[in-house]
Amino acid sequence: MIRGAVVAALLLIACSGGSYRVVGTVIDFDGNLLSVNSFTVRADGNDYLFHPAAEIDSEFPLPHLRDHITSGDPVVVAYVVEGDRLVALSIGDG
Amino acid sequence: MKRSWFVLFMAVAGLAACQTGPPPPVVVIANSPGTLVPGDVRLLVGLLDAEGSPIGGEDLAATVRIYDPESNELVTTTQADFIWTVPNVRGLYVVRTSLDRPGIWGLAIEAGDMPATEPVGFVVADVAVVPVLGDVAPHSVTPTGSDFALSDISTDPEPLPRFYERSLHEVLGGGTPVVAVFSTPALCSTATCGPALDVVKDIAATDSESTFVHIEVYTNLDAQGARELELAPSVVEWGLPSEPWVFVMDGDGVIVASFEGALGSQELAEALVVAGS
Repeated sequence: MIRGAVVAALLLIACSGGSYRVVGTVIDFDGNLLSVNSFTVRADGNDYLFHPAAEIDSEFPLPHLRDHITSGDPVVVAYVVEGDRLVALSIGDG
Repeated sequence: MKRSWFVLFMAVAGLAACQTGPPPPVVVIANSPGTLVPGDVRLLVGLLDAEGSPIGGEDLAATVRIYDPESNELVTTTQADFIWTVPNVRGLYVVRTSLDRPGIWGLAIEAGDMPATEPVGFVVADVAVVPVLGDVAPHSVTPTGSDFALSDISTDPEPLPRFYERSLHEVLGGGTPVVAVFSTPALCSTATCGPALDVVKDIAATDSESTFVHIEVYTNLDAQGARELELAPSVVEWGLPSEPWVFVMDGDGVIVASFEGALGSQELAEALVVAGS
């Protein structure tokens, strides 16, 4: 069901183009203390898997995102859709 | 006739609505990959509502069920303890159990009146990427206040000089318990944030016997981007994949407890009792 919701969300935003913004809770993190491959934010009942842009504008060192899983502090992510990927352009405390 | 059908439809719909309870929470296991190995484990479990907002609290009891990685059969049922990660705002459930082998174990949780979740998997590795219970702690050289200004070696806005008096390698195995805190307080940006270091400082205020050492995770937190960040040599030596971490060592320098991400005062106090015994 969650997967379906994600696909629906992806289709919705992929069809409309432009950049988007979501505020939610970090629930997964693939990376270490120096780099981040991807992270997942749950917002409005949907899961968003983000890949950070090479020049992502971040309020904090990106690896700090893992700490957000522990703290539950929300994040705000601005992103674009590139093919089937959500690419995070900026991130900060939500 | 049409009116009768409408009334009947509304009655059925109303009945269905009454019988629909809240959905089960979403489970988030916060432990880093590669940090859980067979033996005693400490799982950090977050709960979210359907929208994605954290839920939980000291008044929301949580029962946890652990499932075997091969048979998927129920192995144990235990109560989880709640700890605040942002005092009186948000927190996590701590699950302590013992797992006898590597594999993808299952965890389901039943909190309050909400229905139980389906089991979610978590990996118990063959070998940990971090030092584990029973290991002799790496004797890392860490910066001290005698060589540096505290502002150069700590981003804690209110550093305790006691935490920077001696290098980790000097105090480990010295006969008294040692608490090592790897953390970056500067990343704690909200007023309500309760970093691990504050919990340790509170305990240290009542413990004059143990030695406390704080180690910053990065040596250049003012770097322009994550790509330029450099890890402290001790963080590399300990293999830490995340921060913060708190380790408690006994007088022989053997690790008796470790805490990733968040810890409660009671947990740390209990670990120090073990370390000093």
